[in-house]
Amino acid sequence: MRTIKVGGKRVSTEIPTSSQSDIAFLLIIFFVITTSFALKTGIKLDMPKKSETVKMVSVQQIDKVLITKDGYRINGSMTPEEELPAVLVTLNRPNLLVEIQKGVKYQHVLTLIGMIPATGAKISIRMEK
Amino acid sequence: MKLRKTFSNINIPVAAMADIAFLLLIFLMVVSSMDQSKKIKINPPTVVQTSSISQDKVFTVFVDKDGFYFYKGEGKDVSELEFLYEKHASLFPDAIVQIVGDQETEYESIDLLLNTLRKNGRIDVAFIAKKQGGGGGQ
Repeated sequence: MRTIKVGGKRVSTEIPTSSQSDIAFLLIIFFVITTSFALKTGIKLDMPKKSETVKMVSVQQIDKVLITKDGYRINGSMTPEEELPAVLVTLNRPNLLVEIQKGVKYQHVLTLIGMIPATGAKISIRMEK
Repeated sequence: MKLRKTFSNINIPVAAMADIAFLLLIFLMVVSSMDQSKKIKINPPTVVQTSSISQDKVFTVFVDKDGFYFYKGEGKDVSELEFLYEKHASLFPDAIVQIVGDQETEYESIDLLLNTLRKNGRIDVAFIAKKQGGGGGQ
């Protein structure tokens, strides 16, 4: 051990490092506790270009869902949220037009969109003007 | 027969422990990313079915319940987001637009954002949501 003389006393010149691992582990514990995993679940959609050529589809091939502040209207009839999965499965047209009224909450839109993959229909989303 | 007892000092070498600890610490710091949704106070919607979304090349926009947009923790307007997305999409052509909205956000704000971003081409969108009944999500 290297020493120097300070005021007549021999003092060690080494920096004490014995507590370094304690500090490091405390920092690790802090990071492990405060870290949270990134958001990674949700619903994926493929949206076409806005100005893409409009495809004409016969009215007979479209089921219509209107989302209002009061609830969901499927082909004109009011449907409670808890009955949505059962009713959506019965729709057999290949296209589903989702019309959304102004003031509707994001939660209500996602509740419906989240159930659509089970129907296998192509969806179009339109905001009511 | 009597066995002779020998005593010796048994020490576990701990000199490298600090190095291991600091390596772990550096690893955690490098792989972690800040969760901005906590800073912006967003409660994502819940849905029946969710799928996992790769966090690679995502363009994440937060929309709070008042309809304000945030990108990388900073408030932005739609035109700024359009410019930022164009830049992002030029670097990553298969980028995904990830929308983190609040349950209480009006859909109009999300629609305006989506219509602006898809002016110049089709976009892949991921709506971040929690699975109903816990599990998954944040």
